[in-house]
Amino acid sequence: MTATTDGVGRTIGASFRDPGGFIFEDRSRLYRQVNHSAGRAFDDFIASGLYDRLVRDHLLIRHEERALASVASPEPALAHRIIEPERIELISYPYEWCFSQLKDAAAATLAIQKIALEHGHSLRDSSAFNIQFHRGRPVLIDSLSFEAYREGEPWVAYRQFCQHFLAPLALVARTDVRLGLLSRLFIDGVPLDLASRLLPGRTRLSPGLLIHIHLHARAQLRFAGRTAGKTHRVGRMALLGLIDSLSSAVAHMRWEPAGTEWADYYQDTNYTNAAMRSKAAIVEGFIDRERPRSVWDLGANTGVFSRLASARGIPTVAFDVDPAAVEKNYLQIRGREEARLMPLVVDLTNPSPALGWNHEERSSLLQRGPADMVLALALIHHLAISNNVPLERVARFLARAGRTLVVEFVPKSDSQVRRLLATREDIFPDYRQDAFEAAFSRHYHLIDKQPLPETERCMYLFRRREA
Amino acid sequence: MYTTAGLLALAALVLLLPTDAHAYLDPGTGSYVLQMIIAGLLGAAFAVKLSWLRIKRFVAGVFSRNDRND
Repeated sequence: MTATTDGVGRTIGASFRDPGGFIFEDRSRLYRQVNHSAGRAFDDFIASGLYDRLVRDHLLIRHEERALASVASPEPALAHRIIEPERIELISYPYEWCFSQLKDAAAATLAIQKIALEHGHSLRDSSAFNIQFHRGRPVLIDSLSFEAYREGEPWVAYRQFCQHFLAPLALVARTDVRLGLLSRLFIDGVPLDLASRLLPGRTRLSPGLLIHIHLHARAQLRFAGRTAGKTHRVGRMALLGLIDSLSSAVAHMRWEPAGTEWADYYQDTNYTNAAMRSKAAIVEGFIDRERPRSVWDLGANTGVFSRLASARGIPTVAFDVDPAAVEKNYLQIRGREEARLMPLVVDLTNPSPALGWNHEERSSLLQRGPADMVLALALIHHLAISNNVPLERVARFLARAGRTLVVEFVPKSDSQVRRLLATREDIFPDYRQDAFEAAFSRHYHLIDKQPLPETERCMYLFRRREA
Repeated sequence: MYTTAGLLALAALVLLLPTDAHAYLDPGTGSYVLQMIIAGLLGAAFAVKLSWLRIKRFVAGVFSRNDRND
């Protein structure tokens, strides 16, 4: 996340939108200030028991209150309370989540709203950016999202829920998985009229999608620029019905990971079992030697090697370009309740940029790093040959991403590289092991190097040269 | 949960609305109005669902009591 003002503490990220409070950093710890204007709503939220209930159900991030005098707020005159939320290991964004991550985040948001109504409160926004994955589960991180429920009022965050969750889920499930990236284009969610046009006509036969996307889009166009009369009430039963209808629409959404590029990778490699075992043993040796505090596994596929780190209790992120591989990885993490591993969909040739107002609302991938250790296994040939990135630039990127690097060099003679070169001219005279070592040595110190038995590949451990 | 007739009527109602306005002005009003329009339908559907769950639970309760008595 980006610091936006210099001062005693520094305001962070997108929280400037909310007059009720903001996130700031002081001596590298993150705090949330509750301003006087939101003081009453926040105190009511705590007193109603809603905070305790949501934390107990693992739906809301836990926080500790700090004495106002103990923390250097950038706006001390506005401070009603200052809380320190548990730190999220890595902030991630909906356009980096696989289908089931977005679906679970949607279900969590609706579960929170249902519990909030039981406690006389309501979510005043339902931005997907307010959900983060913490210890393997989706949790709400904005403790200032609640307001007192007023009987008869419509749900103010209904539109946002449909744009941030329902529309992208439906587009992935019913049109094309690649449309998940629309959330990166539209920072306040996919416009419903666009979703309505992109969805196949038969989605009008599904009651949830008919109402919450197609008719919703129509109603938005019809009433744009007008003010709503207060003639009709939305009673409590109707509001619960709305939440129930959204929940069932989300629950019925299905996407099966199949047919994409990498999901069957491990059934389709040139490794023997023995080579796989030695590769794992070498990676484990490197991890135990460096004892990193965090690991980014780039090109992680379904996370087989990421788990060598996460199983040691190291917070690990498994990045892959293939939504099917990330989906498989996530389902496994969820099934086994793996708290230390988070999978994300990221295309390394075009990684998540800094987005939003003044480029400060959503951080780029590298702004959220660096990791302590980067794993780049069976990756280099894809960046250097499929994507034409010179080896020196590959090294430069990886050095920005992490302090130490475990990297596998795959030579041209390897069958996987020959496959990449089969359909194109070989314009890569420098793609050789000696040139690889020279390019990486400009950014790293070589610590260790071990050939992979029964293959022509070689494993390296590098430590970044610090300027 | 939704009756076909109810859905068709609802669809007709909203689809008949003209769509010449500009969406980027304020999509919020439409979201409010839609909730007001569908409130009755969703409220009723949810009430029916709750009653149905209650009946199912009652029946299941009766049978499990009988099982214990056997």
